Amino acid sequence: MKKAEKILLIEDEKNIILGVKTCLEVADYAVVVVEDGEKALDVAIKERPDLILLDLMLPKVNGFQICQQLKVMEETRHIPIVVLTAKTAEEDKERAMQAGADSYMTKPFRPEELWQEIKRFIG
Amino acid sequence: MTFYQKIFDDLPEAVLLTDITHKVVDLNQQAEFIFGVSSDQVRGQFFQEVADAPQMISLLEETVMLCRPPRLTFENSTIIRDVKGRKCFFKVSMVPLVTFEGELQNVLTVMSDVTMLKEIEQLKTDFFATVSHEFRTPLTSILMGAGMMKMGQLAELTPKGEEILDAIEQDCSRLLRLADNLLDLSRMEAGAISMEMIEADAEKMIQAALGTLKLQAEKREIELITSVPPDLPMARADVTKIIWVLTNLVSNALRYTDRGGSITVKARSKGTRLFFSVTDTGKGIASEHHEQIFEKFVQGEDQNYSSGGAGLGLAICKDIVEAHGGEIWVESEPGQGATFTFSVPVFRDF
Repeated sequence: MKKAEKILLIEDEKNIILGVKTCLEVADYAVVVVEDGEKALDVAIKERPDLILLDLMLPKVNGFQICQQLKVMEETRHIPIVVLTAKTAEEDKERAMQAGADSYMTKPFRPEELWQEIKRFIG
Repeated sequence: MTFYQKIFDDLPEAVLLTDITHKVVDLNQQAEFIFGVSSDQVRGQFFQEVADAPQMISLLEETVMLCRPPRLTFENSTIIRDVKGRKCFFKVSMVPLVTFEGELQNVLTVMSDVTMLKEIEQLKTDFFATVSHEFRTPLTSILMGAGMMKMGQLAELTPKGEEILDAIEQDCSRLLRLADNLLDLSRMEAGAISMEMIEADAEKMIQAALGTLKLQAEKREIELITSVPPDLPMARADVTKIIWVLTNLVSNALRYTDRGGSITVKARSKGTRLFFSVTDTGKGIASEHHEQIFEKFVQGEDQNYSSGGAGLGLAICKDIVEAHGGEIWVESEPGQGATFTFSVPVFRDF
């Protein structure tokens, strides 16, 4: 059997984690969750996920910076990043894309929309 | 000091009188305060030497050159100045003063302090943006959960369960619309302070509004028809806001029109007014709701077209149209579709 693709979810809201993680698991993805933005880079390097789902509003560090750092580091720069955020302003989207995000999804979204977006990059 | 001099000085607005070469003739106390000068010092000096305010100079030039009040927009009429270390906003207006013989002699400039309004507006914008943002996060987990349950991913579903999940999804969409409307409300403040009135093409505004909705209409097999006479005069309108109103009316119409129906957007003129109308073939609205649906936070019994069901959209439409000096109303009977009409002034050059 093919090894499940691994997705790293960087998110601090407990209920969103539950919803998104469950949604990914029923679609047979392996999911790793980091709630602490400061640890996100280390976990990304260690886990080498196939895709990263990134919330922009995290405590302590800001998601734009994490995005930028992930796209600079040799070990992680190739990993597609899908931003999941409640920020709907066009300037936030531009800022995220400039920071290297590959896609920008605004909350809320439905399970099928999330699967569809992920399939654009893996599987 | 004469009686009139005292009134002049005590006015809460800053008042400045210049001649046709922009030399300062007089200014009142409030103007002295704003520009940090004393009237005795600056009388007879060119205004550009008194204050660094290029926006005001170009307005003065326009007034003198065309001998009429300058055409004011939100951008060119709001002057930001540092007054004793505080960032202040002033709304500027100018009037040419003409002698009995019809000769332009002076320009009267009035500056009203709108700093507090600006600050309140900013507070409101921030508040709505925060509320809207705070709605989105919980809605995500609700929609994710409901979606997966509906697909039977978590447990087998009874017909009743499915019905309830449909209701949850529908109400989530409704909350989301409300959150979107709040954001729009914060971005599109309809108060006169932020209206940018320009000469606007009705046809272009209609096309811009329909552009974003064409795909949705196609999907639902609803025909979008437009009718604009070729010789229609230009409107005097804030283009972004009128496009928003049209988009909102058409997207409401889409929501309440059945597959295979049609939506017609028309523009026509009568006298000094331009009328836009959006007609659908949907289920219509009972007459007792015709006024209520334009009110904020009113929940009618008619779930179909109540303000609650449609979010704050129609209430914001009303604010925007009224800020244009226009009116908005609906004509409809249950089962006969609905026509929403609003008016804006025709553009007139001086």
